[in-house]
Amino acid sequence: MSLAGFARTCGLQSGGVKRVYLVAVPDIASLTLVSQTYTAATMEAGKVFKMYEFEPDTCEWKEEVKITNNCIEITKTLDFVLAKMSTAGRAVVSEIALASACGMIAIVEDNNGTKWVLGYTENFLKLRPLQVESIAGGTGKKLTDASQYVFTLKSTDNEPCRDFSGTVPII
Amino acid sequence: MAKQAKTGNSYRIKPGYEGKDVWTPLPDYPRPDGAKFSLTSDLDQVDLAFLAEVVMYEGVEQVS
Repeated sequence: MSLAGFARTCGLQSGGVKRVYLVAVPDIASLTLVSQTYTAATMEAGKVFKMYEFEPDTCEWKEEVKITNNCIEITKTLDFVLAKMSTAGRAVVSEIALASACGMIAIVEDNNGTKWVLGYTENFLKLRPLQVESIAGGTGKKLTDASQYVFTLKSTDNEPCRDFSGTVPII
Repeated sequence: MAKQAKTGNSYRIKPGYEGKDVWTPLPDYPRPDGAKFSLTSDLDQVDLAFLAEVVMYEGVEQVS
């Protein structure tokens, strides 16, 4: 296969993530792919994504490509922090941990306004979704330590993440 | 009289997609649900044409 190269753009850019939306796998039917971009999301009737508001500058998604024995493996990781241990925080821990069994699909909007799909690919569709790698809650020790939950979700497949140009299904 | 697609083509929802909700980019014409299309018989031909021709949505097919 011939290489296509890459044209650098000179515009400013921003690191980090603005918003995270998650949906449990049974609640989404499929995504529509047009020219390597997902343009629409088909949801089971009445189901939508839910937004999780994290502390500013605590969310990151990453993908790591590895080639082993000429086989490609791409690991996607989504980290975010919810502040202050609380009953509401406990409920989030519980629902995400429970949803991990069937898995979740995320739409992550970065600070450049691009929305990325994690946990759904054309090769595997919904078969290799995000699942909980860890959820670490803690109070810290000192008055100035953070009381927080650190969520890490992960999926592994063989396609780089694609962007999403549709409207995120939320109410 | 039911709204018709500008192209004159006629579309229908494919079997297996009825009852689902599809969320697309915001269409360039006003509609009460904005970017959310509930795939029921309530969708008119303008909506179905938008899904088929603009979004290239796989759950809508042209009626020959």
